[in-house]
Amino acid sequence: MNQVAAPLLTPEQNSLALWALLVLVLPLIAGGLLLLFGKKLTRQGDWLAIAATGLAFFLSLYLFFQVWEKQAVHVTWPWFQLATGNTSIISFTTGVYLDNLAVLMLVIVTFISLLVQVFSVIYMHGEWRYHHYFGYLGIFTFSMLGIVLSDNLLLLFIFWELVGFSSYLLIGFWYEKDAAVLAGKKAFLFNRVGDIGFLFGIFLLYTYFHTFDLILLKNAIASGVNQGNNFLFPAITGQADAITLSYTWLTLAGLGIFCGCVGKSAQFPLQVWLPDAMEGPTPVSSLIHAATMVAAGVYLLSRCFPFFTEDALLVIAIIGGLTALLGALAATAQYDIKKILAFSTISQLGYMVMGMGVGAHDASLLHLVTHAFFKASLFLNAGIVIHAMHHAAHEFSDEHSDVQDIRNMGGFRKILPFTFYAYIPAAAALVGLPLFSGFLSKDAILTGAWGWAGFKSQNGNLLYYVIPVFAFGSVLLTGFYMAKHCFYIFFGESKLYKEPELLRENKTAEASGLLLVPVAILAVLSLAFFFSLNPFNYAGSWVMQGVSWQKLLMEQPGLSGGLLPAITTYLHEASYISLATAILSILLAVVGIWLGWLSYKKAVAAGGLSTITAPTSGFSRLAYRHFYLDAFYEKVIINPFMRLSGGAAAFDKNFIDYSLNTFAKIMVVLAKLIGWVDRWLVDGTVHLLVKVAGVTGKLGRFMQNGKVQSYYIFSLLGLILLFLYILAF
Amino acid sequence: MNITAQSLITSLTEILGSFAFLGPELMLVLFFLLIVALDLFKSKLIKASLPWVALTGILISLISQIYFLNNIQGKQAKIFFSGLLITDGLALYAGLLFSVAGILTIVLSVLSKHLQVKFSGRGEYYAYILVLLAGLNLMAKSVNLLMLFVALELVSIASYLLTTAIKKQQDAMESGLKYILYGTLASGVMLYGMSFLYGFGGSLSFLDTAFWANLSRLDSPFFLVIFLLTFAGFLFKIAAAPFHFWAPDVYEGAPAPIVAFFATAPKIAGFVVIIRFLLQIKNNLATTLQDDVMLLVGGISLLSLVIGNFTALWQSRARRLLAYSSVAHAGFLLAALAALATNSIEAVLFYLSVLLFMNFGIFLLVQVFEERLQIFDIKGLAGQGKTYPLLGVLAIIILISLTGLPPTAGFTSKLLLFTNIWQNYSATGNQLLLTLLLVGLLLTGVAFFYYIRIPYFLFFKRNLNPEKKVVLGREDIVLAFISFPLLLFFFQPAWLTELIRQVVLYSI
Repeated sequence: MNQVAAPLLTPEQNSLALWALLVLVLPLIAGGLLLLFGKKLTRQGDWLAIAATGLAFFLSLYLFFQVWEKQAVHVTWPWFQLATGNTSIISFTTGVYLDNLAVLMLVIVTFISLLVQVFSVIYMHGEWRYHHYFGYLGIFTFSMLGIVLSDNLLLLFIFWELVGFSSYLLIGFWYEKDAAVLAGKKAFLFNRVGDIGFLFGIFLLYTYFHTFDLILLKNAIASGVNQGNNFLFPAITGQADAITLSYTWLTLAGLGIFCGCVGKSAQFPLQVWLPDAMEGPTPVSSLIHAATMVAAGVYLLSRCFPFFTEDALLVIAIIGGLTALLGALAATAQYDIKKILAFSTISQLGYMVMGMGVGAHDASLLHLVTHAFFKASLFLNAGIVIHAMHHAAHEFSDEHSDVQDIRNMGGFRKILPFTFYAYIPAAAALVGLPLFSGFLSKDAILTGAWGWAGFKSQNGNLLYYVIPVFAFGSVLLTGFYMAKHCFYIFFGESKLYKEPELLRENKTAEASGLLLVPVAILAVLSLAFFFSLNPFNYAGSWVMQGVSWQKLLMEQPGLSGGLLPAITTYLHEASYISLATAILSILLAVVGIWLGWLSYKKAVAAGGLSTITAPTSGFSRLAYRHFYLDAFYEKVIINPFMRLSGGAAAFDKNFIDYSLNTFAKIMVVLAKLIGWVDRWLVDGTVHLLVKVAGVTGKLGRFMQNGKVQSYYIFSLLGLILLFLYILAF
Repeated sequence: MNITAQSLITSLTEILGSFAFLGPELMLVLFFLLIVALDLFKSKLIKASLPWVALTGILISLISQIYFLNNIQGKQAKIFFSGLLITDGLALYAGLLFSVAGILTIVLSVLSKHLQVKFSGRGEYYAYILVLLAGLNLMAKSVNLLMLFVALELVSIASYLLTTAIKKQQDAMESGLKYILYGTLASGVMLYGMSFLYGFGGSLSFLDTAFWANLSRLDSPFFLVIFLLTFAGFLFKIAAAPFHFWAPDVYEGAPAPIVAFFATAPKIAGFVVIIRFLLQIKNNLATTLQDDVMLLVGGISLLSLVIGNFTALWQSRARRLLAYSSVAHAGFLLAALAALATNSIEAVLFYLSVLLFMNFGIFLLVQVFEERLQIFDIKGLAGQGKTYPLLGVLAIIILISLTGLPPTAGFTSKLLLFTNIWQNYSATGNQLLLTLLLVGLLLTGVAFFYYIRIPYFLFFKRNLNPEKKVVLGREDIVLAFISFPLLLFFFQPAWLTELIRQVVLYSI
């Protein structure tokens, strides 16, 4: 089968694949060593983890320059074989697929992983289980790279689960805290819900096309002809005859795969685990729950883009738009420094998913890349702030105040100026201000959404415009909550701790260099300049061109057929959309920031900054509680389920166990009875026999008294006894 | 007068011819005289060679016995010396066993420290063994009451002397004296019974049918008294209750090789005599009296089994334990004979043959423990099995055989014995036999308890005061040699049973 996939495999491609495998296993080896022997190594082996990741990063860079815009490498190896009933053998292959997207992701994952690990050296310093932390990070990095490199869905699913597992370990890293344990469990379970759909989708695809190989699947699907309700596939690999597949089932298969994305990328309605996941260490939030793992869903959508029918894409767009809006709304009502960022992440992931849904595939991936950098930067900045707050709280022996509540902060602009200046570009990028990376990608997605709505509503159905409206609304909200975030933390006066020195590392340095350098690098990378030479126009972005659907999918959009080219054409015709989007998004962002400023002013004026209470007004309470989604799940799913299991347990206890216990009691009583009989009758008989034997033996010994005279007497007595015995008979 | 002379000449010719059948005994007597003569020399070399001279004598005797046994097929038992003695399969097989016992006794004596160092009576010691063997052979061949008494006394007197062989040993003298006094009683009682037999039977030859016909006319109780009195001497020889009292004292006082011999050879001789008597009773005595004899033998068997096994439970010294176990063995054998059936002879002879090896094995162990390792009671054996693994394993084989468990010949012999009793019970329906069978089986279980204590102490207890290890080369080899038949006759019992079957066919 693999001759189709890799007909021209040069030695160079082979060696590239091997390098890629090395990149994959380096973090695993380091992680495994740390978990096993970390305690015995110098500095608990953090240098080993960083060195391994650094090496992986440089190898990724090498691979990037070898592959980017040059070639796609697909190398497969036989994996395992299954015999079927009729003597034929099903072979499974495994392999490495390196294209523009894969090498880009390699670089991002290893790079941010490296920065986060450097950051963690200070942040996690003195932590009990320090080496475990780095070990887990190694395993996570390995799993994430596995997803990126896999060339087939089965292997990808395995790494997908490994990512979920390492995420579980890291969220629950502080397992002494109940909240961390619960959050880890919640994340794990919610991901499993999505994975059920994912598996369903994989199985459907395998049933139809008899392969897990992404490239083969892509080729097979590209040959499909849309016949309205059916697709006709003339020649699928390994099958002689043409087959007809139902449109509905293919849509369902695509939606199944999308379920995996919903779970991992925290889309509505499974997004509730992500805010709770903030219980993990902040660098973990930065790496996993902002930059990489949650983006895996979007990566999956890109890889599987040809498998989505138009209807499937519509669902994806709706879910994405809804998630973007809900996330942004929830973020406006939060006061926890990390929670705001978490909800913002949900919102941004919503953007990306919506982008995929509306056919802005390239824009989505661009946003994935830019978001990875600025969100990682924001989290690390938040980490520095939290670190400072902890430091001060420790000095004051303050154990009651919430050091993560932004209402307790303030004035950090002067206390931690470097952090502030690193924070600003990242925040600006998130809000989508021009010159910053976020502007480019968000603009691209918004344009795509508008274009999609315009194209779709040509038949008069204006409902499609709901999606772009959601998206633009989210821009406004993003400006609002980020402005609040920024003002509360960095402006005004420090509320809890008046002495600025206590919040700093020392008088000269605000924080350790190992904390600041990663943040600085990421801040610089939030500038639009790095992603497009023209910071106002996404169209010229080298990233976007590299990961365009034409290149990644080899001009084969798959089941959605002519949708993507049609939207492109539509956008060309309606050229005003692009410009209007840019202006509108800037305007909305600025208004959002202005509103945020007003809200901050009002709060300061009301003096309510330091009152740590949950919001009382209707809507903000709704947003604060994340639209009562958790409560909804609690009431609708968890409680009935618990009641059901409680009932089952009660049935078990009151009926089954009761019967068993009663039976057991009867047996015990019976056994006691038998025991009594045994003790008194059986044992008694034995004891009696033993006594008799003993007495007889003693008699024999008594006769043997050593005197010959008595021997005479006893012998003669014996004779007489024998004689009498005969007479008696 | 002429007739008298004629008969005298015939008698003399017969007597002269009879010497041909007395080869083994004559050999033994000849070597006895040789040893006595050699013992007069002061040369150390000659003194040292005495055991080997004795061994040569026994070996020659053994060879002549084998020669006789070799062509027994189709032969008839031969009575010689004017009806005093008989040569038949039973006597010859018993003689074979006596010779083997004699050889083993001498081997054990050579290994014994007590019988080498500062032991002045070497010459007498080995000479007595030869006389004892000659006496046993004669006893097994006797068919005349007077001859039987003389042979029995020859055995007894030699035994008394051997018991006291180590004169310097206090308890040896004491037990020797007890033995003499007790033996005299038994002999006296027996002689009393024999005089009645002669008086009422009108003959000394107990192969005489008229003898038994006369006795059949007696009242049952009176006959039983006579029978019981006569049997007292035999019971004394086989150490059966109630004439077992000498055994524990003599076993404790005499040298280990001699005790092994006592536990085996006189017992075999005694059983041969008992078998002869019981067979005659079975064939020639009135049936009513036969039943009483059965009851009596069964009663003696029961008494021996109970006293032997239960008293053994209380013993802490190996020698006394073995004395009582010897009483128990006599009980088992009598149980088989209680049926007065010809078919039980095979089982009894098999049992006796196996008992020979078991006894010499266990007493060699006793000798090794006492003389080489200075252990006198069972508790002292603690942990020695780990120090001397080979010795320990061989001890286990011998003790398992004594208990009667597989895979040893002890099991086979008990199996044959009990099967035989069951067969006779099935044939006759005599409740006595069933009782004997059940009691025998139960007491085998009891026997397990006291025998198994020895391996338990050997292997499962810790040796709390470890001492210097002694090298036991020769002892180990001899013990392995003795233990080998115990395994062999379990896996190949046919080799022995076939021989015994032919031997029994050749007996009266």
